[in-house]
Amino acid sequence: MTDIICPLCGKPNPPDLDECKYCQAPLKTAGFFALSDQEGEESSFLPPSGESGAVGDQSVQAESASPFEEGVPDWLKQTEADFLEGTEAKPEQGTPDELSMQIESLLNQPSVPEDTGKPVIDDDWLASLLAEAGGGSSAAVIPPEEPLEGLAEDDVAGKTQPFVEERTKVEGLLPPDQEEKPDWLTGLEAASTIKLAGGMSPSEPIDKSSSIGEPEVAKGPSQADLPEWVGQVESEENPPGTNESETPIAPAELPSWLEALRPEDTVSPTRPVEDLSAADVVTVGPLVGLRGVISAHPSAIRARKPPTYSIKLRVTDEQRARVEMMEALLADEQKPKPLPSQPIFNSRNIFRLVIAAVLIIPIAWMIVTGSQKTSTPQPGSIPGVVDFTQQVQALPAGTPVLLAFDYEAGFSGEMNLAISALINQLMIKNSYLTLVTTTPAGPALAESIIKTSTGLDGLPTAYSNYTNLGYIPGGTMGLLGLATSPKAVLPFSLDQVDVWAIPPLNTVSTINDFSAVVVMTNDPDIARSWIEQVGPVLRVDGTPLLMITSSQAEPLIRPYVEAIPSQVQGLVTGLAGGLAYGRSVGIMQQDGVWDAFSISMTTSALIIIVGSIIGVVRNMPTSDKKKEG
Amino acid sequence: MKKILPISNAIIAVISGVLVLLGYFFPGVFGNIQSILIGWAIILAAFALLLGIFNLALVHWKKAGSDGPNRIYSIVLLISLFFTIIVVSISGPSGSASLWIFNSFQVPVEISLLAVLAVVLVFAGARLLSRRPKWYTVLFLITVLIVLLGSVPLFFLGEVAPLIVVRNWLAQVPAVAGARGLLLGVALGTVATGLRILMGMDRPYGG
Amino acid sequence: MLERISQMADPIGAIIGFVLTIMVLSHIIGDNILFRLAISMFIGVASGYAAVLILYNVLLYQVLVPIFQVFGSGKADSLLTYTTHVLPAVILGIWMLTKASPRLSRWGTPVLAFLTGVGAATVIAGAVRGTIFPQIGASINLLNLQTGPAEINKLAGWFINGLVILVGTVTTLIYFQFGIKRQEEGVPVQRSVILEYLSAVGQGFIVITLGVLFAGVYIATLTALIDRVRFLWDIVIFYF
Repeated sequence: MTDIICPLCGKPNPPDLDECKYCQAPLKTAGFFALSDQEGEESSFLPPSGESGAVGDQSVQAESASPFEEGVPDWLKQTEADFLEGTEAKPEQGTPDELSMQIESLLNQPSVPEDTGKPVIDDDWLASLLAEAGGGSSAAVIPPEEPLEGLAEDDVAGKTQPFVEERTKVEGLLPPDQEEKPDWLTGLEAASTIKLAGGMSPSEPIDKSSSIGEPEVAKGPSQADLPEWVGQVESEENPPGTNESETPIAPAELPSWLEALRPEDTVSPTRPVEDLSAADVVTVGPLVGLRGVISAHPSAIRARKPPTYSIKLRVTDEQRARVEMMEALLADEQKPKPLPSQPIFNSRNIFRLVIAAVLIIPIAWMIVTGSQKTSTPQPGSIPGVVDFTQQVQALPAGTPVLLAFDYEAGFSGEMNLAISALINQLMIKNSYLTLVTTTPAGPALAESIIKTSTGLDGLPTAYSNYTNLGYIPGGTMGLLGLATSPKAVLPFSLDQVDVWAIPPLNTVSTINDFSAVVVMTNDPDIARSWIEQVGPVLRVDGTPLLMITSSQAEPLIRPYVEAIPSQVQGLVTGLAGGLAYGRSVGIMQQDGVWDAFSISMTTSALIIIVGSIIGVVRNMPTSDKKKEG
Repeated sequence: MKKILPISNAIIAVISGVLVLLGYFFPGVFGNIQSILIGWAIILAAFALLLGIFNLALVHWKKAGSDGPNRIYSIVLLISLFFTIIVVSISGPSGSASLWIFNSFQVPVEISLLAVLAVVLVFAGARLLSRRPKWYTVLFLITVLIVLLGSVPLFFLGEVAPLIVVRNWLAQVPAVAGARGLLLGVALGTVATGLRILMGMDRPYGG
Repeated sequence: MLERISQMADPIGAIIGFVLTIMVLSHIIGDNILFRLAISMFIGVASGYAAVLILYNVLLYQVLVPIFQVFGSGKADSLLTYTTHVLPAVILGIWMLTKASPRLSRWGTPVLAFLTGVGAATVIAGAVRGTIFPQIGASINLLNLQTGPAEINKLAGWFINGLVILVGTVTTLIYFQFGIKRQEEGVPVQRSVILEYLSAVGQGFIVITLGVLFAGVYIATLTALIDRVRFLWDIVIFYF
């Protein structure tokens, strides 16, 4: 099967296709196929007139159009080569006289073998040429001009045949030994589809298997008065339109010699190679009426939807496996990695154990022995203790005092000393203790310390002149609410008693109705909140704000104590402050805590000094090396 | 809706904050509104705390149900949580059973955690100069030593008067100066941050 | 001592406290399962107590009991007070519980916005009238002769101390000033030399303050260690 050359992109397509598989252009046009598997054989492709030029043009084309050459079929190349061989020896174009002689030679039919059929020439373009040249036109049969529209396939084939036969007839008029031929004619011969075996001359007729849709040359009544180019155009235009009104022309009988020239694997010459009856007829444009041609109208070339290509990634199994591996790696990155388990007995832990032993052993020794060698601090030596003591001693008896238990249970050991002494003093004054807290553990702490409080004799007392109002949520907002309307914030005690309705709290409407506010906290932020939210309200009436804090909060509360006017009227800090305050109210600790504190402090300082010296000494060689480097 | 909700959140924050602020400047006019809003905020803070505890329980519930290596800790936590809730609910927050649980479980653990911290702090203080010391590191260490040694009479030497004097001076003069500067800086930053929230420029609530 | 007495009277609680103390102190030699179990138990107890405390203190005493009182008393103004002071807060609180659900979380944001707005206003007012104004006033009055000592021999010390505190306060604030004037392209951006020196002085004051803070923290923790050692010894003595 012969492939069909697409007229648009020039690529070969299988013959069973109606449209090009590359560019979707219609393929079913008469004559547009190439014998791609028959190299160097005849082709029906006739080059455009512009190409039938001088040798120079063809040589230029051969040199410069190398990508062209790839698309040029082999038969064309061969014919070009033959042409080039033939034209090299040819002389230059002759004079006008010589030209007329050449034309005359065209009018004479060449001698053909007897077994070939006589060609029948219908085309008039050659006849018109000959007529214009003034030569004998006896052999010329000028077919009438026909319009180009609506040319049937059979008509085209029929027109092709007459053209071929006419041409054959014309060429047959030429003397076979004619060497001087015009360039355009030799170009036509070179592009001829016939390559005869056994040395057929280039002037021999074109192969019948040509599928070129040559327009039939219409026979006009008179072409002599028209210029050459008009005659050529008319001859090209006439055949399609004329044939529409006429009955289809039956395929002509080819001469035997022509039949012999047909390649063995081509279709029967009696039928057209392609059935163009189903082909679309061109209705607009210059090719109107033709069937199976590419219409020049833009709408004929249907803009088809571009083929959709799958966007699915084509992944092989190996690639998929690698992708899964990468995803697993990335997923593992987000997972928290378990810390590597370290052995318990490493150098760091052993060193810490040694330090702990050095600290704990002296403490235990002091506690076990109940040592009391170290004198407890004097109240005057701890700043703030004296003021605190004075403020507490100045409180009226039986008045409500607000106690805020805002420290954590962990600081009980440090602060309970001072708190117990305070509660002891307040119990002595029979003050109504109102317990509040802004920490969740506060109510339990407060309740525990009240229930385990002891008198001056060290025996537990069952003090009942107190109420535990519980927990105030909200932090600073709760303190502001407590300062402005404590009744609304804490309407009931933890025992579900409406304490605001009974004395002495029935006289309390705002916080500065209390005789004093004592805040017990280890957190400097909580202390600051009390000072900022409650302090301004207390300052209105001069209600004292007293604090018992841990040693860690003292540096950040001290500026409030040292302020002028003071925002905190009394401060007791840590174990030393608690001991000093207890000493001021007559409560002395005899259980070796202060001695343990003293020895542990000394030991800690020694550990820090020794560790620092060791660290500096170890750094010295390293720093020297760095300096040398 | 995606644009309306954040803007409405910001408007709510701004209006509520402005009303509370106005209660400070005009207590006669806005004092009641301020009290009402503060009352709402206190109750809402309680709900927030309840929500946090519920979330804690939920997280550990899921951990206890999973097959992780640390599920035993979540189980212990949940048992302690539910046991405490039951006991304290029956006894009341100030009941004897509640106080027993508090004093037996919470207080010992909290104090012990602080006790462990003492060892860690001494260890850290001893290693302070093991890295390349700078002038402020040395100053820091000297201050620590002076305060520690001046807080209590030394066991073998008794009260060292110069140490006590220097310690008291350090605690009442330069430390107060630095602390005052820190407090003022913190307060100014608090005001700036609060004003940004009240102007809608910062939206820490996720709006 | 008070806790010791109560715990001596309660052997089970004392034993539990003893065991838990040992479990937590075992962290000195490193992290271990005993320490983690003790911490888990502690978190559970603390959270449980806090949850019940809130249910009692807030939901019961501020929400439920007042409503019974209102219906019991039948007073209209009580009902009005409850409706304005409590009921909206309860509704908002239930609304805020949507934050527990990931799907409904964003619907609880308005309540958080309200809380944030009120909290921001509260801290602003507190910072201004509780810290900024009084502390600046205190700094001004540092060298106020009217607040100085009456004795002349103490005047010098008082003046020097006041000056040191004033310089320390100002330089500490300068240390936290990181604003720099924009320079032309190619010119390295840096603070002025005077500011650099003052900032270094402020850094010194901050270091001293932090040193005092560190010492205070250590004193508190050392006191806790002494308390635990004493507790352990008392348990051993009392029960063993």
